[in-house]
Amino acid sequence: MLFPIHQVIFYVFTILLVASATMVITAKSPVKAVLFLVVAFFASAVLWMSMQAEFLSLLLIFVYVGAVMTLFLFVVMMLKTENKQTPSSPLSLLSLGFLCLIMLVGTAFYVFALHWPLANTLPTHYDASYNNVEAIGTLLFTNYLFPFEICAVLLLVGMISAIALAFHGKKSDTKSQSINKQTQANKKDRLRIINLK
Amino acid sequence: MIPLVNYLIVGAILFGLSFVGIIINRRNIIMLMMCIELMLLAVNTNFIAFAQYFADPAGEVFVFFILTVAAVEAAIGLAILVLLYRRTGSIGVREINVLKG
Repeated sequence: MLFPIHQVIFYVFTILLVASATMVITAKSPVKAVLFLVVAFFASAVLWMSMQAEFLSLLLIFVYVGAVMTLFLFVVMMLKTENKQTPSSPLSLLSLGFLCLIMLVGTAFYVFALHWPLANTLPTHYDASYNNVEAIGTLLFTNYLFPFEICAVLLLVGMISAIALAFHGKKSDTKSQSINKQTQANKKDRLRIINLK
Repeated sequence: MIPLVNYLIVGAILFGLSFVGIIINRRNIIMLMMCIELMLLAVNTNFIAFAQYFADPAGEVFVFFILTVAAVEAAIGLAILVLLYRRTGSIGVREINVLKG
């Protein structure tokens, strides 16, 4: 009998994903929560990779773990976290939350597993010449070209607004360029010719 | 082979867990933002599962867009958080009541 490698990978990383997500929402300190969130992103990148979404799974690791989570970590470490013991949520809220979780998962299970004939669809088998990056890129530059450009503008707007929000003027004691003065400089101000004779 | 429903249930569990996280950690803005990131991850998993099982790469293109928007949202949200910390000296949700009428 063939070793069920797909099933083993799926269940191992699903358990890792759910466990780290649980740790994220119950962690006491935000730094631990960020680190468990990184684990959750890695586990779900493996799940995406097993669904043959190679490009997006690598993108998740590079962009999310590499950039966004680092940003979170910097902000968490920069701000003073609440040292005083935050009052833990009352039991009623906790039970309400778990009621919501059970209802949501139960509804999903009821609808998908019991009443939907397509639920047992098996994965599409792509042959070896299939290229995931090419498939996404072709769609991105034909049908979805305009949304793609909007995404680029959105990133630019995000960058400008993040800088504008977080920048709070030059400090007086640091050295910095003055572009205005630089462009107005001319030879007479900078260069003095002396006669050596 | 794993049937489609397994991935959908994983997405539902992840979404539900992050919803519980929003309810539990509603005092701390950073935890709220992390729970929202986790929610987006659940949605993206569902998108990729549908795209793969029904052989339609358009779903993966949408995941690409969601990742872009989520990255921008995280950047601006954290910038606002830093600004808030500079103004009030704390990041509790309780302190953001200046807009109260």
